[in-house]
Amino acid sequence: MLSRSANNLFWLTRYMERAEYVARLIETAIRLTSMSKSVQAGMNEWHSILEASGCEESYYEKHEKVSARAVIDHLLRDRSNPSSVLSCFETARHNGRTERTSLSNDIWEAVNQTWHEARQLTDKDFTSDGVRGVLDWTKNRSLLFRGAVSSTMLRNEAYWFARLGLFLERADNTARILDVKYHTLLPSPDEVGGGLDYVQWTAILRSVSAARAYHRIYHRELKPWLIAELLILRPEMPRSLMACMNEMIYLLDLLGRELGHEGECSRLAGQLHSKLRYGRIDDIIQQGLHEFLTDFIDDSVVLGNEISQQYLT
Amino acid sequence: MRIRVTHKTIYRYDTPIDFSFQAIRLTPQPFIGQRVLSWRVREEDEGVLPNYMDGFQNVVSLLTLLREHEEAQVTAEGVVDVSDQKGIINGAPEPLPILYFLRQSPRTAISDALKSLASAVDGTDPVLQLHDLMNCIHKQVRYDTQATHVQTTATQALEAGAGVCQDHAHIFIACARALGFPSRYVSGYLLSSEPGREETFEASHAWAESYIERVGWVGFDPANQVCPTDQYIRTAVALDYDGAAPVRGVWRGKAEESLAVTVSVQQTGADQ
Amino acid sequence: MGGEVACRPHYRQILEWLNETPTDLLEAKRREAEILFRRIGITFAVYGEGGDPERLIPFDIIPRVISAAEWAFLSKGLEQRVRALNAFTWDVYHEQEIIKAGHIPPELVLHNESFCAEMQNLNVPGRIYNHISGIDLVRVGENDFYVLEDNCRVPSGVSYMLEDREVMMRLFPDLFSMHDIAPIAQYPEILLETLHSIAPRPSVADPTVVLLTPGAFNSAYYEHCFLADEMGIELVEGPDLFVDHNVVYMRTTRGAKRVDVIYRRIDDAFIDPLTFRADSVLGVPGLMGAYRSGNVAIANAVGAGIADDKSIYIYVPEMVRFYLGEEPILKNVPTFNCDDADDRAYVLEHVDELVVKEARGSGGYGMLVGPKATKDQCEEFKKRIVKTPGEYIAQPTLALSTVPTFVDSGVAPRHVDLRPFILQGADGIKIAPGGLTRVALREGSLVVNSSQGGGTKDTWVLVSR
Repeated sequence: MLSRSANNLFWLTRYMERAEYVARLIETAIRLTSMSKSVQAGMNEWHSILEASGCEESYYEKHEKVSARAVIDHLLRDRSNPSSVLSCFETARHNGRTERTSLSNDIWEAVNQTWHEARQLTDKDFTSDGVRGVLDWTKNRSLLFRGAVSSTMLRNEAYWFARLGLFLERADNTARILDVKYHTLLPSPDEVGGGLDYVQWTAILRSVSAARAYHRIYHRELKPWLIAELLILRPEMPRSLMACMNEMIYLLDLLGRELGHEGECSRLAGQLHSKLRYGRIDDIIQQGLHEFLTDFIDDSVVLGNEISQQYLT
Repeated sequence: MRIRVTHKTIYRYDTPIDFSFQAIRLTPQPFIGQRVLSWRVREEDEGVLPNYMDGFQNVVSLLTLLREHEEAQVTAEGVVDVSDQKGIINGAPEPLPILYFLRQSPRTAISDALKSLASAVDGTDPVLQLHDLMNCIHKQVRYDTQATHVQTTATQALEAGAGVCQDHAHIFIACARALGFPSRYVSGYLLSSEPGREETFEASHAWAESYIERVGWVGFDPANQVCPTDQYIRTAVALDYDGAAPVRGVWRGKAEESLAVTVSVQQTGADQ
Repeated sequence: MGGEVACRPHYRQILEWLNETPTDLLEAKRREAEILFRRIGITFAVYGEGGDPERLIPFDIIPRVISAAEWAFLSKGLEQRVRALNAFTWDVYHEQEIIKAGHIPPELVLHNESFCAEMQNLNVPGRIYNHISGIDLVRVGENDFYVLEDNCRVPSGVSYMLEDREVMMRLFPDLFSMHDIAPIAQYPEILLETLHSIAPRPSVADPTVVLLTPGAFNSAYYEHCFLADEMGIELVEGPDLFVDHNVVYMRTTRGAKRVDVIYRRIDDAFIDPLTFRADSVLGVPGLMGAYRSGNVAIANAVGAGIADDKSIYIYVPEMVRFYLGEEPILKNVPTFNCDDADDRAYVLEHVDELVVKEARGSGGYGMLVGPKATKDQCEEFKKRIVKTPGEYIAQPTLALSTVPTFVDSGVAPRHVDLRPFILQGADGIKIAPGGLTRVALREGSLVVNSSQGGGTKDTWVLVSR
């Protein structure tokens, strides 16, 4: 297929995934601020989700101070922010429109309908009452889209590139949210077991819809290192780095065989994969969780570039 | 006269780019009075460039660079034997009907000022008329490399009263067409009158050709007020500069392109 | 139907059906059609005008019917005209015999904006220039058609022809079973065959054909997607292609792939920034080198527009006689050239009966519709014609036939035109039975353009039993 088409599909799924992630981040922040008594702590939440969304820079270009209202607006509907939910939907729709021919009607209608509905949203939908509705809608649209992708797309390279984008984005998102919150996962004698931490941990788990999964897997109270393990190393957890890398390895392998050339991106993915496959959470924490996560984020950017070099340009 | 030409163009981009394409019209073709002994257009790393013939039967060399690069070096070089034909062109490829060259083009669009310059021309004989036109332009438009730029039209150059060979040629073509002579733009090389001196401007030269009934195509160089002699090598023709430009390029990426050009045109070999 | 309207026999069943069907059902079907079009996404993009950037072209649910006999006549005429236009284009880019023989003034061709010197002496694959032609026709009476305009560059609208049929079949299956209608769904397949037939490397069994689009912001983008999809070929944009050593390649996930045939839907001026407009980002640098080297075929050929130029139109009947030695089957609208003394005298005498147009103008600017103009306007135009006669042509107003159309007030007669699509490959000429019928939805209007209240209809060609 055309490199440009592969690139469009790769980014179509990335943007749809990112929209959901940003919506989940906002939800997390709303939950945390509503439970925290201190205003200062509340402001920190809004700042940290800006960081976790990678929209810090674009936010501070327009705003001096952090406020809940402004952050939500920036992340949800600011068209000048390419990672805002509505921008993601618009870009996804543009990519989808360009690739109409390789999409099923269900996928196209999921993307197109989302865009049409997004255009109908008014200021009323973005008030503090309305915002929850928009967040639920965002998650639903993204879920519907993924469902349409996995149940109606032919299993050929178009599908594989779409999946590749999805898992690269997802791995990056999970790593980012963990990195912003890594300090709450570090053993610190004063605070461990404190009420605030517990709330924070639950929020992290919820942001990647893993709260129940945790209990099913570990059958015990929340322990920060287990939360880190769940989201980094456990292959059964769909948003863990391990699970995403497993999918990517499989997809790159398939693409390499099908398209007749494996390159630097396969090697790099293999390296990342084995780090996780044979890693232990104790070692990771000992050697620095933050360092581990920033390395992973940097490596996944390089991996994205290599995939692009090899197939998408 | 035997002339050796070495024409180096270095393309530089201020930031690295992934793709660039250049169309290069720098290959002389044989006709009566111009014998090409050897010629090639090559890029430093790519070797001899592929080429094709355009609609005017000019040879167009194409440089395609699809890897990351900041620089490309193109050299056109060869040896040509030229003899004086009093500016008359015989035996050159003529794919297009003569009347085509009465057509206006963006660079040679007619204006009142050009019309009045044309109508002031003296002489009953076509040859004399065109010579007079050439002399008038030479007088009215002084040589000045600062007065015009590569996009200037005939009308603008005449108004400025100054320009380079390209502008002289455009003005001549516009006026000659207004007088009813099919005319065209010629690009090529000119042997400097001072041997051994490296020229960078007028060594790459441009002039005009007009069609005269019962005579044929005749060259006129208003910049130097002569008809081409055995010091002129002709490489490309077209309606105006745009079609005969020695280099035309496009590239993708946010880079600025700069060109460094050196041209050496020298007498050589047996006739020296 | 109003009783004053005479009805032709092949419309009989349609009219019976209309009489039996209650108006509110027709209205419901009309709305259903609109929903279908919206869902399929058949829109034409109009950016920068505010409002919905992706609009629907109104669709009329009453088909336009052409009898078998009439189609037989029409298709013969179309084939003849398209062959002549192609022969003309080959000739002007080679020996120019028609000019030498004095049948057409040389300046008209050589100084024409549409004459492309870059095509001179190029032996295009299969000697074909207008692979896809859209010929705009109007009918004024039995077997009496006039050609309004030839489209030899990038004629569009064929997706409407195909989708109108699809929607009609979904809405009125019974109506289809009552008639014997020639199918048109094979059009994309024939188009692909046509494009295959001009592939320059005969040794390659399965040549690579691509559709080159200016991109998603083009008003006909839907059609580009539709055709690429139906033919199963890649829809490419300029940057997807590159030229190396005079060969065209496309960038794919498997690496560079050689391209043999380009079905381009971008204008000549934008096709190669190294040859034409330097500011074009839609084209492919060096494409003309590959084309002139014989390594790629382009449909329609670059420079094909010389045959459909307004000022050349007058000479098409002459082309038919000159190249084919036949009498033209389809008529030109009689055109008076105000530069000609006799013609001018006639025009000045009859200005109130004629449509006067600028020879080089487009879009109805500077046009006089005599029967609808005031006396002052007529006088004004007479003065202009006398001053610069070369800039004007004049044509009689035609008594266009009308067909039944479903409008707000019910079923009423409306004016239509017809654009059939003629495919011409190295393997011959093929015509999809039908075409795009455009209808002027406003009462009395002769303007069928979608920008001015025009709509489309499904076009049925009946098969003789």
